[in-house]
Parts: sequence; structure tokens; C-alpha cells
Amino acid sequence: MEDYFNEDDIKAPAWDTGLVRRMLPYLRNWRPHFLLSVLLVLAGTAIQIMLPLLLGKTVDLGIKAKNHELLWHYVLLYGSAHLAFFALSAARNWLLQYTGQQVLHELRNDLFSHIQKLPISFFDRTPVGRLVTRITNDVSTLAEIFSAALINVSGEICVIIGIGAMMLVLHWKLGLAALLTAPVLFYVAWILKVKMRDAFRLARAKLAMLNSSLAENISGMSVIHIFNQEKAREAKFDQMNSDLREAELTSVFYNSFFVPAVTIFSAITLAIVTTYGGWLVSTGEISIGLLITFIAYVQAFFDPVRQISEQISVFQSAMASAERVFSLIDEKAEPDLDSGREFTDLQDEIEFRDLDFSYNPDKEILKGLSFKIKKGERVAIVGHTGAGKTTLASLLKRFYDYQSGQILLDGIDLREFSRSSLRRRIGLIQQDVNIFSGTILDNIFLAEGSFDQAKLDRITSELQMETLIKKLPQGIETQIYERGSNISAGQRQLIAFSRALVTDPKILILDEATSSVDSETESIIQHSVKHLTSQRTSLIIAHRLSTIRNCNRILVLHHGRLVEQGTHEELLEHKGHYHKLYELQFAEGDKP
Amino acid sequence: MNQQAQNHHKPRKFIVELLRPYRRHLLYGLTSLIIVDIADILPPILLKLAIDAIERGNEIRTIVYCGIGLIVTASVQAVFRFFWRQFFLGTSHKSVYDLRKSLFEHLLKLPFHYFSRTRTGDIMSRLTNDIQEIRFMLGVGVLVTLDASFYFLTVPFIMLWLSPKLTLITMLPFLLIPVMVVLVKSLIHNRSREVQARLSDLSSKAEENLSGIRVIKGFRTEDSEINRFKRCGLEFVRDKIRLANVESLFHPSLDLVIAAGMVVLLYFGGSMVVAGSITLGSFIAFEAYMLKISWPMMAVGWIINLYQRSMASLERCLQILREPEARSLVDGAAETTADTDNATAPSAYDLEVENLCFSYPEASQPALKNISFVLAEGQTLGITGPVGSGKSTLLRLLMKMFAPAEGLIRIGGQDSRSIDLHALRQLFSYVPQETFLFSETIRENILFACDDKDQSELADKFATQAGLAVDLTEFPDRLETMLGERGVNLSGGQKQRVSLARAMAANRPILVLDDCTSAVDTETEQEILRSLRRQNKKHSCIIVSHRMVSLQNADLIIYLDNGEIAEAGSHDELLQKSGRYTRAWERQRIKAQLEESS
Repeated sequence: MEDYFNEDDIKAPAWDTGLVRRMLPYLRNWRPHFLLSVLLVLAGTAIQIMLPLLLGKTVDLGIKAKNHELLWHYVLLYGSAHLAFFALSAARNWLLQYTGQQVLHELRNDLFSHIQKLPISFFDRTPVGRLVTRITNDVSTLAEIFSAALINVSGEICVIIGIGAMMLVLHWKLGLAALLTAPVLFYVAWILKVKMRDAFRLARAKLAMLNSSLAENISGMSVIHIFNQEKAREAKFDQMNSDLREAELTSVFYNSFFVPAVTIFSAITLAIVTTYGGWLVSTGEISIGLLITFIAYVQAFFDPVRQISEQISVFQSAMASAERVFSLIDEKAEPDLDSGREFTDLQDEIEFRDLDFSYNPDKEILKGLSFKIKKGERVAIVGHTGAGKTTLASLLKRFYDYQSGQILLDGIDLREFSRSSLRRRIGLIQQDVNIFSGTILDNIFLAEGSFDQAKLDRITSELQMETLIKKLPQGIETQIYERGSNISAGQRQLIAFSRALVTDPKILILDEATSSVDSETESIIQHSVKHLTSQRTSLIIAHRLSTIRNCNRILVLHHGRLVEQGTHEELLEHKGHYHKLYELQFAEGDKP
Repeated sequence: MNQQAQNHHKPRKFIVELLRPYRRHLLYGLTSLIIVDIADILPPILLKLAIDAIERGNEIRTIVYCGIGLIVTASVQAVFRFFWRQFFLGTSHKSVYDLRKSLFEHLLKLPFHYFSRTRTGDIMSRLTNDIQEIRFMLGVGVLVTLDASFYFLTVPFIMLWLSPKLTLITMLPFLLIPVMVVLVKSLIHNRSREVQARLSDLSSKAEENLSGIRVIKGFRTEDSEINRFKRCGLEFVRDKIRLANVESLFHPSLDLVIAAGMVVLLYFGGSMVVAGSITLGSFIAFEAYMLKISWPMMAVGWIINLYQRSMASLERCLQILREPEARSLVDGAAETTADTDNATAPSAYDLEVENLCFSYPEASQPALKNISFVLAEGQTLGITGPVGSGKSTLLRLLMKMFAPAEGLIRIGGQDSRSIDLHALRQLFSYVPQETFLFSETIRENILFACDDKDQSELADKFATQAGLAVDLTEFPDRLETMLGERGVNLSGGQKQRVSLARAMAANRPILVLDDCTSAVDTETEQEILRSLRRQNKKHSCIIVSHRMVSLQNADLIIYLDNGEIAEAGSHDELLQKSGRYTRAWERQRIKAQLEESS
């Protein structure tokens, strides 16, 4: 819905010094490029101002003086000035585009790298779509600032100032007469601009409202149909639609004043220059060529006024985007991932001691949790939905930090270890496998340059996936389609297992999916889990009876507390919580 | 308008149709345009007269007259330029209003089927971007076309009148302009498409990364991801610069072509002035006309591009208008009993379903097989069963969102196919599985289907019945609280209860609840159902639910599995059978205990 209703763009100011200042560091690396661009803009303006002067000289020295040689001379000069102008403006346009894109590339990379460093809790509360919009659309909108601000506006302002100054220098009396109306025009243009902007904003807001209501009506069409509300909806829509039309017409009304205003002022100025200048020519005070130069100046003076006014809305949306981009950059990143002690291997045991944890203050997830896992042990954690099982896995990988209590690895607090080493050495296998674009190999060796044939061979034999790889058209180099649609669920599982093995994990956490899987996948999982966990300390968030039975010990969690523990048989005999869970989940395949 | 659209499948005819109501405005606009253009063409001649007078000397009066003439023509131009914009641009907004209106009216009449196969984003892009493109064509496009035509029909003749020879020489380079615009624009278009493709690569890369951020952080591969993203970004920058290579040359080269004309003029024209074959004034006027004709030259290419784009947009909008409206069957399938004219709303509301079968298009398995049951008026039907067993499909068939392949549905003894859609829908009030509320006030949402939308007491009553009384006290504006993007966001349970209140307020004979209380806790749900039973003694009720407790008081419970009725009967009867219903019931009992024992 965000696409259809972007209020920020409408409300944003056209200029915000604070935001612009924050963009400056990105320009710093490209300072020579910008400096050159500015020089090109200035040189272009100088030529633009020169041209009418050359025209006047051609008339005076060539045509009036009937000097054919000088005429040819000046025509050549005039032509080469135009050629130079062509080269300068092409170079300026290109250079600004080029530099702008490089700057944005850096900004985009910074933004992306920063997002990579944000804590998981940030991603819990921010929809992916919004972040993608920031990285792509908002950064692209910022690009407009470079073309709009640096190419157009600065160039146009230079032209206005340059022409004004030139006229005064050439003949101050005629120049003053020509500039007489300019302040009035600027004033009128300013007043109209405010009116136009307000009308335009109103129309934009109405359009956004109409569009969001439209989107809503389309997605809720079945509700409208079932309740027979077509007529009422139509009336409501018509109201918004005609509001929009009225707002647009108001905007057209004010807009219609602007061009005529510029026309009148340029005509008045032209009339003044022609009559007063004509009189000056007849008294012999100035040459006819100079008059022609002045006429050309007057014609070139008014166009920039209109051009500039059209750039204001571009500035507005760029500022709104800058605001959104920088507020994302201001999000606090996760502390340095590499700081802390390096976790290499588990010697003795993992201990959870009086662990409390909550994602937000009003709901406790884990309460006073205490238990130990010996090195090499295979432990299952079971519990009803929301018991806090998956949270345990996230805590071990330091995706979140716990509030009180401790997790100890060989007696050392988990928080003393670096996040990097914990994340590498503690393998988490989730059964909702994220597949990335690329080949199977890319998906196994996620880090660039981490490919290692020996390791691949070991993984392949450990997981016994030779036959599965052979089934694929290009083997391990097979390109996986979007969302892994060309590989089976079982193959996807194998990718998840192999991925975990690449980092040579010392502790394995397996998060089994609650959803049912086909028999092929089931047998792959059974086999792999059994095999992988036999040599490693493992924690299995289990849903399948087959997995649980193979574990040394079962921990039963309920509402964040450890309620029972023991082997499958012991717990069943106990006829407590586990027994009920067992009845509920494993007694029959028929799911509600 | 819709009928007209059906008749006019041709976009061009449709444009005429759109503009027809405003033909008088367009005529005024055209008149203003001609006046403006005449007033715009005169000044160079005035300038010529003035300069020639200056040249001759001692003719200050002519110069003053020319000055006055300049101001007069400018004033006339300014006044009519105002009307010109008003008429043309105003008309475009009015036509687009009409177009939007007819599109929306048509959308409201389209069948359920259309919306299930068309993405909202697709319809939206037609109603936003495409309409914008059409408006541009109707307003600025029409204006520029007429304006440019006028210049082409006048300026070359004035130039010929000033000097035929000079006209022929100077206009030669100008002929390059339209060719350049068309060619370069298509090059620019192609390259920007590539840029768009790179941008979409970039955003899929970002999206993929962000969706898998837990894996990436879990394996500590952020740095590789950053590198990959940088490479994607570099490709984007490379293509963007490829585009800039063309774009940055485009406008300067147009300027250069015009300059070439000027250089030619300056040399040959200058020589002619020296030779005395034309006056200095004519020379200056000629220069002004050259500048005036250069922009219509550019406009030609621009108009061609705009025309192509807007016709494609119009075609996309017409596609919507050509969609057949829903008549009696919502999915547009052939009507088997066509006699809709004498269709009347049934007076009794007992439901009878006989051997109902249904498959979704392109589905290999039927969604419903041989469903039969009878529900007397005022009774409650409960439907339960595993996910995908056909519960919602059954409801859709009852409400005629789809037509059954086989079998019969009778309402009050009348074949549901013979009841017209409008009358049939008056019978049902529906609480959908996925709650959909509008971004309006709570009151407006509750009274959505009521004729009198201002009755606050009524809204209050239904809100209370749906268990919203306590929630409302949390909001300062109570019933007037705005929902959605620009207002308060309700919790899932609150939304479901507003949706429930909306259905109750609709006050229709058959209330359908499609698993609509999943986000409401069991106790609240029980309370709501009790109050429903008290209220709706006369109304029939169909409840689909996964929660067996919600169904236990129903007169008839159907356990669906794989599109078939696995078991049916009252709660007690079903428990006696000790079948799947019983097992599911037991399982939920244990689950409830598990949740309590903490």
C-alpha cells in the first residue's frame, strides 16, 4: 500500500540543510569530479552569454560594415562557440550523471552494509518490502538531486545572473531599463509558485487518497459483492474522484497564470528595450548590433525562471527520500561481531543457569530455565507451540542477548565469546530452507571463496548425497530457480544440512519443521540427523517421534519453563506433560 | 459508458468517445490556441518593422508603435494562453475523471473469478500509471499536437515570404530534428529498459538477502553478501552510465542542429543583407522564426513517443472494460437455467444441498464430491475438517461465488441458479476467513451494509454483541476511530470482531461465519456465540471452525475430508460414532488442558 500513499513526498520541504550536510561525506571522494562539473557549468554559461554578443558583433562589423571577410570570421567564431557549447554541455551532463551514480553506488552499498549489521530484532519488526524500497527507490530518487540541482538549477541561476550583469556592463542605462521588470516578475513568480505548490500538493494528496481507496476496494471486492454494497462504494469513490478533479482543476487554474505572466513580462521588457534602444541607436549612442544583442538577451532571460520553478517538486521528493534513507542509517547496529573470545570447541558442557528472556517487556518467553548438556550428548527439546524452543536456538547463536541468568560454555559466559565464532561454530539447521539464487554449490558454500573440494567430498559422503546429486541435470552446478522450485523438498533439506557442515560446527541445533513432509524427505532427514548428531553435541527441537526416540534425553518445555526431563520411556511412564504432548502430536497423523 | 466501451473496442474511437462531452470546451480551447499562436507569430514582424525603421532613422513614431504592438500582442497572448491551458488541461482532468469512474463502476460489476485471477497490483497500475499516461496525451499531447500543427502551417510560409532562398538553405539541417528525436528516443527507451531490468535485479538481490537474513547472520556470511550486492550495484551503474552516454548527448545535439541552422543563416543571410537583397529587419525576424519553428520540430518526435505509450495504456484500460460483467453466475459460466427474469427472492430460507460436486479450474482433484444435507430455517450448521478439505469452497458455492459442476442447491425450495445474484446476496451475511476492513471509522465499518449509516446507537449495539465493548474504551474516539493506514491498527481478534459486527448489522436471514474467530480466545468466542444464539433465533447460521467447541451446539455438524462428508450429525451423535470427529474432539480437549496447566 506504501506505493500508493506517500505522504512524506507531499509534506517534505524542498531543502533541508541538515540532510544535505549528511550527504556531503559521500561527495568528498568525488570532489575533483564535482569541481570539474562546476567548471563545465560555468564555462557553458559563459558561452551562452557570449553568443548574443557575437551575434551583435557580426551584425555591426560584418553586415553593417559590409565587410565580407569579417562576416565570415565572425560566423566561424559563432559556429565554433556553438560547437564548444555542445561539447561542454554534453560533458557536463555526462559527468554529473556519472559522478551522481558513483556517489549513489557508495551510498547504496553503505546502506546495504549497514542493514546487514542490524540486529535480528530489527528484522523482526521491519517488513522486507519496506527495506527493499529504501535500498532501490529511495536511493534512486536521491539521484534526481544531482541532475535537478546541479545540472538544471545551478546552470539556470548562472544564466540569469550572467545575462543581468552583462547587460549592465554593456550599457548600464539600457541594461537597467531591461532589468526594470525583473524584480516584479520574480515577486509574481514567487507568489504564484506558492499558490501552485499548495494546489499541486492538495491534488497529489487527493490522488494518493483516491489510489489507496481504490487499492482497498479492489482487494476487498468480495466483501463489497457479498454485502451488495456496489452502489454505496461507487458513490464514495465518485466523491473522492470528483474531489480529485476539483483539486486538479484548481492546480491547472494557478498553473495557467504562470506562463502568461512570464509572457507579459518578457513582452514588456522587449518593448522597452526596442523603443528605448531604438531611440539610443537613432541618437547614435549605441550600435544596432548592440541592440540586437540586447534583444537576444531579453529573450534568453525569462526561460530559466520557468525552468527553475519546475524543479521544486523534484527537490521535495529527494529530501523525503534522503530523510528515510538516513533514518535507516541511524538505526543502531549490532556491536562488533568479532569482539570477544574466540569459541573453538566445546570441551565439557553447555549449561543454562536461571535463564530469563523476553522479546519485549510485557511477555516473558523463558523463565528461570536451568539444565546442562554434556559434550557429545544428543538432547531433544519438546513442547507445545510458544513454549520457547526456537528462542533457545537464537540465544545460543547470540541473535538476542538474555536479560538475566546465564548460558555457560565450559563454564564461560556465552556473552564473552564473539558473535562471529559462536555463529560459525554453532550450526543451526532450519527446515524451512532459504534458497538463494545461484547453483547448488553456491547455496552450500554461502561465503564467497569458501569452496573447498575436500570439504565437499566429506560432506557428500557423510550425508550420502551422491545419488541425489547425480539426479540433477548439471549435478552440483545446477542452477536453482527462484524459491527452489526445480529441486525437491528432500534436496532442499540436504542443502540445509550441508550448509551447516561447511563451517565445521561443534554444536548442532536442529529446528524441525512442524509441517508434515513427504516420505522421501522424511527418510533423508532421519538418516542425516542420526548420522550428523552421532558425533556432535546436539540440541534438537523435535516434532518427530523418530527423532525423539533416538535422543539421550528429552527436555519438556512449557511456557518457558522446564517441566520434565528424561528418556522417552521414563517420561511416558510419568504420565505428565510429555504424555499429553505425545497423545496430541504422535498418536495419530490426522491433523485438525 | 460501459456499454459504449463494449461497442468501441478500438482505442481511437474510445478517445473520441471520451472527449465528446467536452467538445465545446475543446472548441474554445482551439480558438484560444489560434489566437495565441497568431499573437506569437506577429512579434518578429513587429521587430523587423522596428529595426528597419531604426535603420532608416528619424522614425521614432514607428518604433513606439511597434513597442505598443509588442505589448498588445503579448497581452492578447497572455490572456488566451490562460484560457488555452484551462480548456485543454481542464478537459483532460475531466475526461480522466470519467474514465476512472467508468473503470471503477465496471470493476464493481466483475465476477469474483476476475479478482482471483488478476493481481491487485496489476489492476492498480492500470488505474494509476496508465491513466496518468492517457491524461497526459489528452491534455498536453492534444495541445502540443495542435500547437505544432499551427506553426507548421504558418511559420514556413512567413519565412518563404521573407526570403524563399534563405528558407530553403536554413531549413535543411532542421529536417534532421524529428528523425533524431524518434531514433534517439527509441535508443534511450531501450537502454532505460535495461536499466530497469538491472534495478529489478538489484531489488530481487536485496529482497532475497533480507528474507534470508537469519541464515546469513547465522552463518556469518554478511561480508560475502555485501560483495555480491556491490557487484549487482556495479552492473546497475554500468548500464545507467550506458544510458547517460546517449542521454547526455541528446539535448546538446538538438541544440547543435539548431545552431547549424543559425550559422547558415548568419552567413548567407548576412551576405544577403550586405548585398541588399533583404533588410536587416527581415534578417532578425528570420532568426526569430527559426527559433520558433525549432521546437515544433522537436515536438513531433515527442508526440510520436507519447502517442505510442498512451495508446498502449489505453489498450490496457480497455481490457478491463471489455471484461464481461457478472450476470447471474459469478464466474461467468454458462447459465443453465436462464430464466432470470421471473426470478424472485425466496420467502423461506431452508437450505437443501443435493449431490454437490465442484472442481476449481485447472485443478486435478475435485474440491467437493457429492455433498448433500438439509438445514431447516433457523437452524445452525457446523462445518469442520482438516485444512483444504473444501469447507470454504462449500460456502462459496452456497453464496454463488462459483457455480457447482453438478448437483443442486435449493433455498426455500427454489433452485439457487434461478435466484438472481442480487436477490441471492441479500440472503447472506458473511464473515470471511481473512478479515477485510476498510480504512474508515469503526462505525462506518460496522454499518457497512446498513442503509442508514448514521445510526450510532445501532453500531454500538452490534459492537457490544460482537464483544468489542471493552476494546472500544481503549480508543479515545470510540466508534469514530479511524482504521487502517491512517488510523489505529486493530489486533487480529479485534478486526475479526468488527467484521462479525458488520455481518450482524447487515441483518440477513443466513449468517455465514468462515473460521472467523481464530484470533479470538476461546472464552470470548463462546460469549459471542451465546449472544449470537440469543439474537438470531430466527436466523439460520453456518459456522465453519477448527475449534470443535464452537460447533458443539449446532443442529448439524459436518466433518469434511478431501471434499467429502466423512461424518455428519449432531455433536452427541458424532461422539457416539467414535470416529474422526471424536478423535479430533479428544485432541482439542488435551490441547486445551495443556494450555491451561501452567
